[in-house]
Amino acid sequence: MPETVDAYLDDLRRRVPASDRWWDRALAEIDDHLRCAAEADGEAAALQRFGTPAEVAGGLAKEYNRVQAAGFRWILVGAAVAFVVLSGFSRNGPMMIGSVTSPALALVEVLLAQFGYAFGILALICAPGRPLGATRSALACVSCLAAAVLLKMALTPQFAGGLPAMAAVLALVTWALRRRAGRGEWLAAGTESAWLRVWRAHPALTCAVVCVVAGANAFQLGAMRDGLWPTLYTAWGPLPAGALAAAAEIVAVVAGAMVAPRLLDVA
Amino acid sequence: MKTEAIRGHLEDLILAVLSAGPGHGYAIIQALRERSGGVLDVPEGSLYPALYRLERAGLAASEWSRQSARKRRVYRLTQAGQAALAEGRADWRRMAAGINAVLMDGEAHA
Repeated sequence: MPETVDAYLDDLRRRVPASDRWWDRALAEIDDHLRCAAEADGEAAALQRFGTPAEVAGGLAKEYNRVQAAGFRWILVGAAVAFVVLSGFSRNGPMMIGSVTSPALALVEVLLAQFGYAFGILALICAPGRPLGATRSALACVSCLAAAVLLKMALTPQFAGGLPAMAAVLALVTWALRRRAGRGEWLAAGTESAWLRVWRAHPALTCAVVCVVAGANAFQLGAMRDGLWPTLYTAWGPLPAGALAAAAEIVAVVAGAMVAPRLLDVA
Repeated sequence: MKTEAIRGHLEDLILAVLSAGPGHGYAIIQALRERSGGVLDVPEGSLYPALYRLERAGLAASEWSRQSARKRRVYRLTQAGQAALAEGRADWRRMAAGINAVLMDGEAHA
């Protein structure tokens, strides 16, 4: 436990996002509270009664998640509506990737899926060691990638070829989690598997990320078959094409992992 | 009193404090402690999530105040909060009567 109010507030700030209005407000209130209490009873007693920075950040993060989740639902609804409306204007119907009339839309779709996919997985990796929502990671990323899932899941019945890609990406993420566990930074090394720990702590988030893995790969296979690489797909068949998709996914994950920490306040 | 026992009723307790008038976080904790004769010693860090829940539910409202030297968020009860408090009080009376009947009955037989 920090010994002074200033040290306590510094500790708490390190556990929460650097520039988030919701957290700024909470920190300002806690600052005022602790200084009032310290003036009345001394710093040690004030801090003792308030709880450890980890407990406080965790308690606030739960409430923050609820606020975020409310916004998240609207993003999902918005993405679904946008998909339906935009599909109506596309010459190829929902398969906008193949449409020469909407290259910008196609580009946005590709970027959204890959960006959200990579960031969502990174969020999952970061979540266990910090209170969920106490970074920008979890729900902000899930919002982004869930929009991608909604857009893509309906597009691609050609799912079977994506299984190798999904397996490869899941293996990559598991490896990354285990590395973290080995370093003892975010995941405490223990007997439980990292995935089990994540699942128990954040089942909804885990489900969301797994859905995203499925969705992003389904999308990529669909794009390969119907839009970007039709020749490759028909010439090679679904499994080699799936391997190529896996390579593309891994590039996306690694790129996301390099960029995301700065954007997610987890560096 | 055990923290777990208070936690389930913290929001009603905050509403009850706010029914006496607006207050900031520290003042609410102080009022809880004083009005309960020191029995309700809530971990102070748990106050703010509860306040935010009340605000999100529309039972409390808040605004920044500059009346003191520091910037301070002051909470007040809303109309919905008053109704929720009345309901919470009624629930508590029923529950306390039930618990009391069982506990005291056991004491009488001892």
